[in-house]
Amino acid sequence: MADTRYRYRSETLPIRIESGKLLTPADIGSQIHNMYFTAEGTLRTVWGPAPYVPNYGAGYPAYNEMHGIYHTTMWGGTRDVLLIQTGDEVWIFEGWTTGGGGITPWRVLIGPGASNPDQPAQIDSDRRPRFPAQFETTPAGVVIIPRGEGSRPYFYDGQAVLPLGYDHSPEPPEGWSKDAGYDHTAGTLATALDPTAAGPGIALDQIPRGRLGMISTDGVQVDDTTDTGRILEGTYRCSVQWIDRWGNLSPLSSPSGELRVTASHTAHDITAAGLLQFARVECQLPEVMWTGIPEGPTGTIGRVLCRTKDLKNSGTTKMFELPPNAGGGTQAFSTLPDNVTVSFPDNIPDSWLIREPDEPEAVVPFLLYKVAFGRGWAANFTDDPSRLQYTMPGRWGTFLKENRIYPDPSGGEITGMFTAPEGLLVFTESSTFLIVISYGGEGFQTNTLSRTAGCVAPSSLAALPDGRIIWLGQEGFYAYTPAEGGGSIGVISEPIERELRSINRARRLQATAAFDVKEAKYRCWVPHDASIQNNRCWEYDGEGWTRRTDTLAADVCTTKDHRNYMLAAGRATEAGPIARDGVWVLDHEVRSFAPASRPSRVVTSWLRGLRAAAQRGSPVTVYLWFREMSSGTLNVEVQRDWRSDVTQTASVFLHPQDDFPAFLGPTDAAAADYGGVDPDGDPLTWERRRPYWTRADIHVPSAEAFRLRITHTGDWEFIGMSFDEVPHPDSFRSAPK
Amino acid sequence: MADVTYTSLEGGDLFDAASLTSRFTGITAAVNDVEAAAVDRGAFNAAHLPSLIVDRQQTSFVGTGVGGNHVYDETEVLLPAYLTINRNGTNPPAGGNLEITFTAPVDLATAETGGIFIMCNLHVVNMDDDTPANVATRFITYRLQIRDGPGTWITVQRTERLLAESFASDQLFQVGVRTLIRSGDVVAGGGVGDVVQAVRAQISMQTAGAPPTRRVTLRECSLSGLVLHSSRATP
Amino acid sequence: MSWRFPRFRLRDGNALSTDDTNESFLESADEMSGRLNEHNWASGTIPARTDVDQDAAFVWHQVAVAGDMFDTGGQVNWFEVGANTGWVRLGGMILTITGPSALYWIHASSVYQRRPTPPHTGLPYIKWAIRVDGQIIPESVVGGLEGDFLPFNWNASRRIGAPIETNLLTSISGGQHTIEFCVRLDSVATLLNHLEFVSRELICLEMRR
Repeated sequence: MADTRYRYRSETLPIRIESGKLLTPADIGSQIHNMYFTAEGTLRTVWGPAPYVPNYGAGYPAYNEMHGIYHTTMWGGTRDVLLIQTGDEVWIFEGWTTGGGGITPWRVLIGPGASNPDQPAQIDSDRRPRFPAQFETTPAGVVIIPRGEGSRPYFYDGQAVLPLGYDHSPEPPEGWSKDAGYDHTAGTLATALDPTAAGPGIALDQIPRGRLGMISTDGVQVDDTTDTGRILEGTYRCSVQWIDRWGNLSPLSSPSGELRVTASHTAHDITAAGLLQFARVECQLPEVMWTGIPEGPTGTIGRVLCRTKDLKNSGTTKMFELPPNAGGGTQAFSTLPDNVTVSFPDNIPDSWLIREPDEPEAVVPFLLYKVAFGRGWAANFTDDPSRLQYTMPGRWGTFLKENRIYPDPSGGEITGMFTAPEGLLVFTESSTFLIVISYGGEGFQTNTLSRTAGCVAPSSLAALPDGRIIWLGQEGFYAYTPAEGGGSIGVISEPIERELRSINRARRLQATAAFDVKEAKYRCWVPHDASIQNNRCWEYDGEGWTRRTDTLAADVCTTKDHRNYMLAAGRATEAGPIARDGVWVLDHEVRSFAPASRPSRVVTSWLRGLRAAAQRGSPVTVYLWFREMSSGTLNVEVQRDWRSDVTQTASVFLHPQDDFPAFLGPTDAAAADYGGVDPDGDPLTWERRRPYWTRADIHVPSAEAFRLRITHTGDWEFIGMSFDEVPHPDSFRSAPK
Repeated sequence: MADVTYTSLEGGDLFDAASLTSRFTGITAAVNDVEAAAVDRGAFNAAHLPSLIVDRQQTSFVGTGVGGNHVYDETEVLLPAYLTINRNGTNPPAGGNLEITFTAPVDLATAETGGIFIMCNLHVVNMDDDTPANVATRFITYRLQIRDGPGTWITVQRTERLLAESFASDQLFQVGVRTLIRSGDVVAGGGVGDVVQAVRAQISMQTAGAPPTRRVTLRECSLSGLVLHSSRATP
Repeated sequence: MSWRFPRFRLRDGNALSTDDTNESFLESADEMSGRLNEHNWASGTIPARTDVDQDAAFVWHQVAVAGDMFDTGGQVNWFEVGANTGWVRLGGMILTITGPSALYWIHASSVYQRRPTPPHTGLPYIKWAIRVDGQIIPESVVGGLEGDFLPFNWNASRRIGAPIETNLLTSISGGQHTIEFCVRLDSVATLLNHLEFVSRELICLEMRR
């Protein structure tokens, strides 16, 4: 062995992130695979996942291919909602049905009729490249956009699920009016003109009842008791609008046919006694009736009737909402607060018509939806992928015609949206825009942040605790750093640029990501190497990248409650191996589900490669800093001089040899029984797993660079490493002679 | 009710069976004896809870007479006598009474329910006595009665209502009464106990003098009773 | 909450770890501190009505006054409402309710008459309504002052008397609230200046779930 006086000891290398570049600092690995960054600052093998619905003996729920997952709470936190899309169906989790041995705590919320859903729908999900199912929480409920050819947006408030908004307008009603005219059967003139006079009372037919119509008193003398004016001929039209339980409005129907009020004048007659009697012209004003008012689709709770003022005499052709009450009201939300009535007696004069109706458009299916500025923002409409449109405040499915925005002048398809503190980020594949409130205070305006950096996968957008927003773009992962007046965008995946070249570009739009609170990492699942599924997860902690492959996640979410679980909808492999589709809790493990054996790896960079130009050296000893984990061993493979061949494999123990910890399990050869004693005869005690150094002697003579590949299919925990080498100054690999 | 008791394992704690079993015990004891405070607000929904309707009964009809009327004449209704409203409009009542009987007698003294909610509606078509001079004094009255445990019908005085005749030749008024039958109503009406078996609606009429013909004509009528698992607040 | 899962699986051959073991136990222990929600209880967990607190879901509130409509002597419990005095609460018809936010289903029922016997003159317009926290709720108002509403028994040559009834379903925030049964009488006549209200009842069902 070389003289230890001539050995060079490297510094301790706490390898935590990886880079695919050939030349990197020694404390950056070339691969960190299936390792979890613990709270103690070490790397530990990824464990789990656990099935969200474990096998209690009767098998697992019959999931189909997974397409989406989402968790939220409603009703002040009392309603815990977990939604998934599996195949052609959207399911909701109902844990209470598991009691009694049932294995399906899932109920079909949206799906084909045969599955007995709450809301029948033909989603036509398939295996084509598509965005994952999209979900967005609003204050009133969740917007659900299933993934599929025939999909349209739905809304679920914790109790009812229905299509979001109205996709068509109602039919107009029909109007009926009695011709204005005098009709009385009793009463005397004096009584008709003096309602306070003593007597048997006013004749019913002489009390003014109708209010529609306009009276003209041109040419009438003030004290003339025989001429009280005339009713002008007038016309009215009516429209109707539905309103649903969440306040969404349908488009206005087309106006009804014209309803005519006939002209009239003060009527008079001669009674049998020879008296001349009159009825004031106000007594002849009619009330009218609108019939054929259409009932709305399921979810409609009222109809708003709108009517013009007298089209011939009022000077306006606008529509106005008919108020439901003659006076005020605290509970009235529409003219007809039900979905049953089909006719409406209208006695509302033009002078009461004040409010013009809102005029929404029919809802066209769209693919993306976010909440910002107290409104819903929909994008990527099936008839116009470059359009962005926002709803009325608080009405999450009501889009007004004038609320359209086209952020990209070149008409690019909108491929992502994210609510940032400064505004709403909107992406096309190659551009990024920021929607902010207009400087004028009304409406919104579009600021262009980048014409080269865009987003390719809407579900890859997530925010870091430091405020940065990360997503997958054309050239890798990008981050937006917010700043006053609009922030900056930059590529952050440069260290793994080489690895990202193998992303399946045809399917990168299905990438999905979320931020894990416990590990404090952004995790994004993408398809690599022509895979149809997202088969690799890239993790970013704000500084660098690692990877994991424990789960093939079609979609992920974090629970919006104190559990902060990360849930994945996709595929995990059980020991067997048996591939299973389902819902998985990452970083948790249960006894009933043993994951299939999978490798975890820490691969160093090409050590001493950056100073290879200066001299060669012979690494002789590798020191590995672990935390004690188990009674087994793991392998350390050695590679040299940029070659992939493994020149040597060393084995190291996963526990200190001079001071054994206590192990669990009576079947393990090195384990002790419960209640036993250690080799020194002292009682066994609990401990935090202790760090320890171990070493492996390696032989890499005169190398420019060497690399270690620490790999294991069991549990282990890595802290760092260092190595000894014998330097060989002034030595080069010579060219062949 | 048991709180969760859990002590974190610390380095140096003895590694024996008790170190694990005691921690399981601390949690299982709480699971097997759940504190009210352990349950989140709104945790129980329709899937967990039983129906809180103790009983509900309802009857409604139109009469068997022409036009759905049931007509009560001078031999049947004149204050102070009341007659149970019935489909045939006869005395004794026939064809079905405006009466509901509970599935089981409702004991208002128990902790099960705070009261029996009764809704009654009548369509009064007309009242008449063929004596125009009496027009100023004609009126009908109606009321509710409850049947106590021994089977006696008790009048609930606060449900007595009156409708005087208006100008129109046909009244065509819809009248009603709402009441909550509560503990003590049986005794207050002269009955025995605190149990209610049934509820019925009765009609009567008053007019001046003793004209030979008097009529009360009713049409649609309904009577509903709702018994909920409930309490009644002390006013 | 919902379901919780052990953090780590304790495998044979693994070294003891206080942290791993504690984390796994605490997943369940934490939930017992007040976050058991709908998913933690099986269907039919509470099979019997008697297991539910009496006031968990429904609480009745009621105030009632009985009077004899034909009492020509002391007119015990009759309540007189004068004309043109605005909204007047019928005697005793007030409920003060303290509770959580809930739906209130309110019913009010009474009967009025006018003594002595006719003739009267004028046009008595009567309205009745429910007043919540001092505000008359328009949707509960029956009656009106407009010419196209026919008041009961406006014809003054007849005996005057009729039942009145109204109801209201409204959502109420938590706290203390007052519910009242009110009437108002508007008249331009000099002789018809009041009405008497006999039996009356105000009921409120507080629906807490």
